[in-house]
Amino acid sequence: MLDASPRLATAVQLSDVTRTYGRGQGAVAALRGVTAGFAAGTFTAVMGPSGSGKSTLLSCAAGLERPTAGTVRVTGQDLAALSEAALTRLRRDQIGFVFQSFNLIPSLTAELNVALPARLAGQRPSRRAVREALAAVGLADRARHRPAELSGGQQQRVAIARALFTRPSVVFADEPTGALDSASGRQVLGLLRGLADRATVVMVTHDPVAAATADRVLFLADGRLAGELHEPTAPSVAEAMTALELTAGGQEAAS
Amino acid sequence: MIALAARTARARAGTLAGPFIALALGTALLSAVVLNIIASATYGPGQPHWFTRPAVVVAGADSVRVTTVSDGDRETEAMRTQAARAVPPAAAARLAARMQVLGVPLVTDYASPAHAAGAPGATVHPWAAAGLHRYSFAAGGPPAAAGQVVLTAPTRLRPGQRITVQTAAGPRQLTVSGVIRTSAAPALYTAGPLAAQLASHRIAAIALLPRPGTSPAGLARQAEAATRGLDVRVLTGRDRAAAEPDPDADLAVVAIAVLGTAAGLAAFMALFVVSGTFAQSVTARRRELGLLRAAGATPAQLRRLILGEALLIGTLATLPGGLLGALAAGALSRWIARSGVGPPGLATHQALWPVAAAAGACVLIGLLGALAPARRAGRIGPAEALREAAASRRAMPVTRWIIGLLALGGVPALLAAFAAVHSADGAALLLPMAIVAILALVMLAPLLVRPLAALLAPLAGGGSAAGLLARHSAVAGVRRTAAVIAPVVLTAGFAGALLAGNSTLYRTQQVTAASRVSAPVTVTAGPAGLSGAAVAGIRSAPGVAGAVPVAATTVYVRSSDSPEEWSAQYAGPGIGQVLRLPVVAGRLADLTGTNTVAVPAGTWRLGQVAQLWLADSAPVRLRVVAVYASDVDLGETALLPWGLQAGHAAAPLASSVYVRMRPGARLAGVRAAAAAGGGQVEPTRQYLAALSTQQQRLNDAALATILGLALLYSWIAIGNSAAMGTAARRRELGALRLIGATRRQVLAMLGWETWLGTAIGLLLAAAATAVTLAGVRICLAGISAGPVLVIPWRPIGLAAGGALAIAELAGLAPAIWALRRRPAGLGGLAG
Repeated sequence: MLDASPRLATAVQLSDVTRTYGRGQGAVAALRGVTAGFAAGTFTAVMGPSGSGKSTLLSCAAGLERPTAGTVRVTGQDLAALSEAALTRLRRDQIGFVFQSFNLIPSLTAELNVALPARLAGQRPSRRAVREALAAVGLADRARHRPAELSGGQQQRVAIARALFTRPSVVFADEPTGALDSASGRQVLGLLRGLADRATVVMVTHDPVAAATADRVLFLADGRLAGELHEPTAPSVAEAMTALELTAGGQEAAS
Repeated sequence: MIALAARTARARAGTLAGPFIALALGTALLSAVVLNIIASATYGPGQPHWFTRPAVVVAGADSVRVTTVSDGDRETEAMRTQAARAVPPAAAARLAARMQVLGVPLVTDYASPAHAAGAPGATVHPWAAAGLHRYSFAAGGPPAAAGQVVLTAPTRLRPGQRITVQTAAGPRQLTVSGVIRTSAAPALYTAGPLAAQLASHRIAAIALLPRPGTSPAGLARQAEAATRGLDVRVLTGRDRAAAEPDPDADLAVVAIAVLGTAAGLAAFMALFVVSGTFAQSVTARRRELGLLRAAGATPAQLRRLILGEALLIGTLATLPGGLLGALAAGALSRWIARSGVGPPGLATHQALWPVAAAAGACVLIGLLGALAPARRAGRIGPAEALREAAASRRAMPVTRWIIGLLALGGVPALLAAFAAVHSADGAALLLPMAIVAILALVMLAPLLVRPLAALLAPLAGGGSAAGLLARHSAVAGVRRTAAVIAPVVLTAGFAGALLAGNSTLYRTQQVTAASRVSAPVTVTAGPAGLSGAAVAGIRSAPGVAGAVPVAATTVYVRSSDSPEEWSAQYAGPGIGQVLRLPVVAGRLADLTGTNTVAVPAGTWRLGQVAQLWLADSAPVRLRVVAVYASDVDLGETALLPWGLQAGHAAAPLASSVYVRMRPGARLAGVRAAAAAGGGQVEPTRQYLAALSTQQQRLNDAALATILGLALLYSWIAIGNSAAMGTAARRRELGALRLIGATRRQVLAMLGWETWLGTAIGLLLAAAATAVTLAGVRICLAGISAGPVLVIPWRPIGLAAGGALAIAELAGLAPAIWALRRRPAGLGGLAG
């Protein structure tokens, strides 16, 4: 079921991943034995009520956090086997990030922000390549602006240009439209949608409209996988979420 | 708003730790300095050591007074002189008569310079004076005959030995009759008549011994009645110590001047540092302050919030600060005593009010320092809460422009002042000059960050990603960079300007002074000075063409409405042949008799009568017979005729003798004559070098005290602002890690950025030093030897290097701490 299209290679594979915070009695399990695969060239949305573990799932998948148990493979590499430095290199070369809070470096212009991951990797990207990346997100004329001089939607598009600049095989997006108005949000989702042609996109969101742009939606509840929707539409996603939240609420009421 | 301030302060402990530390240390520093200023101001000789047994001591006057009358108000400024006048013979006679009637025994004490090789002490007293304090015989007994002497332990000399004693009347052969142990200052004792004769019958003091049934106070009233109308001091109790010579009394005045300067500098720095840290905390909280505005707070309320915080933090900081200051005061006084900047016995007493005063000053400094940041907080709009606002747009607010340009305008004004002073007094302008130059540079620093950062780019990470980030970050966050720069400019600027300025002035003065002495050889005196007989011996030694004695002394001159201390020299006849002075009017050859004087231009004209006081506070009227240019080493320096010394000292003694030799003559004869008089022969160059090293040491110690305290403070300030700068950027550092920067790259960026800020600060400090040195150069222009540029690289390097090391350490440590976790925790991804 998870490997429904065996012709496609799996870009990210989580196997029985558990992540616990704290120890002893105060321990909180954010993920409880999650197994999920993300095929190359697909666009997946991860949804769930708050506290369901979706951000933890993203952090573990991206190697930002090490799982308490289970394995994570990115493009076939077991992340547990990598040192901190090798993990940083992997993130730099294979993974792109798009955050809700953009995470642009405020002192750098848009073009320098886009070029930064490459420069951190020791490359000297050409100005033309940087301009092209900005043009691809429709910001060719904003190359010399600092983040503070850009609107939220523009900042997020710079962040997407940055995430794509190193041509990563996986792009993780954490609530990329969370801080944007709906018009800007649509623009950003369109960019992510188009991206799925060349990279695997994993997006955490709580917005059914955003989730509906993806190829499929994974639902999380209480740290476990709670369902899956292929070729989702906004109403179907919303329905599934409502059902999920009712069950979760019912569980809470029962316990 | 104060209540809100208290709440937000608690929640914002992180960003307010900076101002708190700055204010606590400011309080500590100021309290320690104020406690020591009070200790120096109240420094007295303490308990008497010589006059322990007499009930009352009568001594000559020892102060000069200047009284001014303006609009019927009389104001008197008094100054204690180096030495006291003799007790007038009339007073002695009247006291003797009155005390005989009362049956009170009295002792007449004479003191004159004398020294015996191998025994401590440099004065000789009549044997009766030994009874003025407790003593016991270590060996032998009292001097029974005129040719006998009693010495003070510890000495290897034993009763019966014949020794040579250098006295004011020349060398005497005396026989040791005994050695005493006493806690009074060591001295030599001879039979009364000889001691009186050696002192030219100049009475040092008359001691009235206690008599059963008469209280010291009653006896003092009797003594006062007997000496009414005569210029004497009648002393009882602790005051008796005032009749004993106290060589350290001058040092207390030095200590007060040094500590006063240190306190001023410390307060100036504190104001800067506190203001900087408050500004940093406002910047770090822009978002929060914007939220408050959005929630309905008025700009005035935000201003009051920041000022309320300043008041609260200032008050809280005074507690640990005052405590620390009280503890540090002892260490400071020990340093002052050991370094020679203050009297050796200096000790502070714990007192609340000086600490409270320092604390009050610091609370005030806190409020003043928070004024500008509070204004800025008031200008934050509600929209700031929604914006990423790390890159502040307006780097140069109006206040910065105004203060910066005003200070810049002060620079040419002070350069003109340097030109007008044209003497060693220029030293007094060094601190104002440094303050003005540094203030201007610090205030205008945001304008200079971009060009200087571009200039320094090749030295700051070059093309690496870390270097690029560092440069952009430094230029974009101009305010943050300026906050790092300011304490560096203060530290290195003051160190550079004051050290290089003082050293250059001082060295030039020394070199010029040395170039004036044309005599190739100098005979320096032993502890007792060179007597007239010894000088005569040197003058008549084979090969000597001329020998001119000089004796260093002090005169007091009326300067507007207070007495002022000048240095002076009694100069023997023929001084013009051994000193090259730039005489502009009159002739040095006329400096004869007892009523002439040679002075620097500016105070008196040739032929005028100069009214001044001699070192023993005696007023004299002297005719100006020569005027010389008020050169760098000659300002406030008078030359007195040799003959004037008699009557104002026990005997005319030389502190050194300048000797001219006949061509080809050997020094052996002079050496023998000098040795006979207790002196020794030195090449003049070597003698002057030793003299200047000694003075340079005191000069250096004074500067070290002033700068040391300021440096200590500003180093901490540097660490403080670097740490605050890093702490405010944890989010940004986390974002960098998320987009693929390794831990090392993030640290490298911070390191380069700190280095860049520090390097810009050091460049500006160098500029402040250069401007100050330009002032010194103008001040010294046209003097005979020309300015001698001296830059003490070692201490300046220490100040600058210390600043860099501390900034790097303090900037990187919190980053290392923050980065020890994985990037997700920092970037706010996990949520």
